[in-house]
Amino acid sequence: MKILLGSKTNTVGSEVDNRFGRAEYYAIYDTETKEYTFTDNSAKDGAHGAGPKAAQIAIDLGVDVIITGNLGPRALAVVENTDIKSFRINGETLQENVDNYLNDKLEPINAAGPSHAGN
Amino acid sequence: MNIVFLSGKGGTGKTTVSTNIAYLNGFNYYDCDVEEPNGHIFLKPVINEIIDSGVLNPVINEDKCTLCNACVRNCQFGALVNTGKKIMVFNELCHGCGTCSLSCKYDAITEVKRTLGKVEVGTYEKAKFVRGILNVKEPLAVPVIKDVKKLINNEENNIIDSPPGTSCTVVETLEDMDFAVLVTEPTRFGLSDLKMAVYVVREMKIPFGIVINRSSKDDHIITDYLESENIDLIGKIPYSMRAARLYSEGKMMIEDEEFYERFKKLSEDIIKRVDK
Amino acid sequence: MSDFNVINTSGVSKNEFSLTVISGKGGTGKTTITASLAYLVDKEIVKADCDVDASNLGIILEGETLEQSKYIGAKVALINQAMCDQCGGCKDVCRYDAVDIKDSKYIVNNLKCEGCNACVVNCHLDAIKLIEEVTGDVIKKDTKAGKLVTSKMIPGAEGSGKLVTEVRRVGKTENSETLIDGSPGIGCAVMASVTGSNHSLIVTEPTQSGFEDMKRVYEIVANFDSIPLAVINKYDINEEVAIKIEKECERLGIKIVGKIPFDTTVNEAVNNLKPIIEYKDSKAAIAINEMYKNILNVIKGEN
Repeated sequence: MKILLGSKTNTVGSEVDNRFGRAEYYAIYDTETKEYTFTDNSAKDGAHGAGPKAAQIAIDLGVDVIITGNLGPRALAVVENTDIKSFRINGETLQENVDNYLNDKLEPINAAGPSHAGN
Repeated sequence: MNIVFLSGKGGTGKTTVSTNIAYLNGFNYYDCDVEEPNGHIFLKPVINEIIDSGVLNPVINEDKCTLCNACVRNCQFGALVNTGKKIMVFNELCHGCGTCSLSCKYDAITEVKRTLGKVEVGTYEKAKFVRGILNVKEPLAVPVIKDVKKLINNEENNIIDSPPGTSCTVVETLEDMDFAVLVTEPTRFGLSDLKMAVYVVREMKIPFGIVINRSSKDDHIITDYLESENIDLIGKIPYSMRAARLYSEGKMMIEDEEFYERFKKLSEDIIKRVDK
Repeated sequence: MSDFNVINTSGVSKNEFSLTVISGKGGTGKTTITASLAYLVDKEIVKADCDVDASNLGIILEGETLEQSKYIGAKVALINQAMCDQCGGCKDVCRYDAVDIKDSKYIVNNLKCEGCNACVVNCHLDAIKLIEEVTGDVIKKDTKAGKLVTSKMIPGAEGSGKLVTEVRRVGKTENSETLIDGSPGIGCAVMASVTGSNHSLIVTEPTQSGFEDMKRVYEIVANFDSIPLAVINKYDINEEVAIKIEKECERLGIKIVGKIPFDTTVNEAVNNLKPIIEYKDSKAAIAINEMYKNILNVIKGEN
C-alpha cells in the first residue's frame, strides 16, 4: 500500500507540509518496503487549480491513502471519485503521521477546507 | 473611429475623461473595464438589452468516453482530471479553448456555454451605450471584453473605456483601436504606471497622446518624461476639490461651466489628432 | 484535533499577521496606505507587492535589490516554419485570433496567445510546440521597512495572476507573516492576492464608483475566507456617501478600521518618495496611525 504525504523537504526526516495542492514535495511511503520516495510537486506553481492537479498526481502515482492538513473543495471532489482515502495530519514528521495512520490514529477527511486561487 | 482611454494606474480619471468626451460629442460609449465598469454612473443610460457572456466548457459523454486521457494530457489549465473511473471537469479553471474536444477521438466531448458575465446594451442621450460586467468570483475577464467589442461598429464614432493596468485585458481592449488617450496624474506612481502603458500602446503600434489629470505644480514629473520620449501631451485638467465633489456625486464635469470649456477644448484637441 | 483549529490551509495560524490591502476601484490610495503600514508593522514582516500591473510599493520603500530572477509564467505556441505547409489548421482552431498570416507565413502573436495547446494538437505535421515564456522578473529587496518582494511585469504579458501567485509565494517563503499590496479589480489577479490571507483591508473612497466597487470586491474576500476590514480614504470629499459606505459595511459585517481625511500632503509625500506617516502632524498620518492600532486590535482579537 502507498501513502502520499505533503512534505516540507525531500528527506526522510522531514516535517509534513500541511498544504495539499501547494505542498513543497510529496513523500510516498510504501508499507511493503517501508521506504520513502519523493517527488516535486509540479501542481504548486500554477496559480489556479493546484488542488485538482495535485489530486491527479496522487492518482497517477497509484497511491491508496493521502495524509494532509486539508483538502480544498475541488481536490476533495476528485478524491471522492476514486478509491483513495484521505486523512488529516496529526503529528509533525512524516514518520509520526505514518505511524499514527497505521495505528488508526488519524481522522478521515470528509469536508473541504477553504478554496485558494489565482491565475 | 475608435478612441480608447486607458491609464496604467487606476483612479487617474480615465472614466471621468472618457465619459465627458463621449457626452460632449454624442459618441457611442463602450465600457471594457468589466471588473469595475463605472461609466454608467455618469452617462445614466437606458438599457434595452442584456446579453449573456461566457465561454464554452466541455461536457463529457461517459457512454462514449474510453478514459484514454488525451483531453487531460492536452489541457494546459488543469481543468480536467482523470480519476480512473471518469473524467471530471472543473469549469472555473476552463479557458474555453476547445483543446479537449480537438483531442478526443471518440466524439465524447460537447461544449456548452457557461456564463461569466453579461453585456448591457442601451442608449444615453442619442448615442449607444454598451458595458460589460464580469460576474463576481469569475477570474476570466477577457471573454466578456471580447463580447463587448463584438458590438462595436468601426464606421461609427466610438469611445472605449479600457481596464487599468497593462495585462491581457488591456491588450484585448486595445485591439483595433485607432487612437489611445493615456490619462495620468502628476505623481511618481502615475509616472511609473504611465511608462508601462506607453510600452503597450507602442508595442501594439497605436497612435497615442497624454492627458494629465489633477494637474498641479508637480506636472514636471510627467512632462519631463514626455519630453525625453518625445510623447505628445494633448492637454491638462487642473486639480480641483469641486471636480472631486462632482465625481463623488456621479455627476458629469461638463455640468460645471468652467469644466465645460476645458473639456470642449480637450475634446477638440483629441479629435484633431485622431483625424490626422 | 484542537491543534489544527487555528491553522488554515496556507499553513498560517489565524493570529499571525497576514494582511492583503485591496481596493476594487483603482486610485483610492491603496499603495499609499500599504506603504505607511509597511513602516508601522514589525520589520520582520515581509512586504509583498502583488499589484504587478502597477508595482509601486518599491518606489516608496526603495532599498537594495538582493535577488532578481526571471519568472516563467506562461507558454506560447511557436510554429516551425521549415516544417509548416501553410494548411491554416492552426488559425482555424485558435479561439484567441492569435495566428496571423504575414507574407503567406503563419505566425503566432505572443500578446494574444494563451498557450492553450489547441494548435499544437491540431497540427498534422507536428510543426508547432509550446515554449515557455518569461512574464516578468521577481525581485527581492532589502528596504528601510524590511524585506520586500516585488516584480517587474513585462507589460501585456499573459497570466499576470500567476506572477502575483509567485510574488506571494516567495514572500511567504521568507516569512509566513506578510503585508501584501493587492491588485485592484475583482478578477484573477485580486483573487490571487487575497488567497491565503487571514485579513483583507479594503481601501475605499466616498464616491459612487468607490461604493459600487467595494461591494463587488467584498464578495471576493468573503469567498476566500479572509476577514474583511475597510478604511474610507478621503472620507470628507463627500460625507453623505461616506455614511452610506459605513452603513453598507455594517450590514455586510465589514469592520471599519479607519477614516482618513483628504490631505494634499499625501501627494507631496509620494512625490518626495516618503510614506505619508513621516509627515507626522499631517491629518492623514494621524488617521493612518489610528487605523493601524485598530487593525492590530482586530488581529490580536482573533486569538
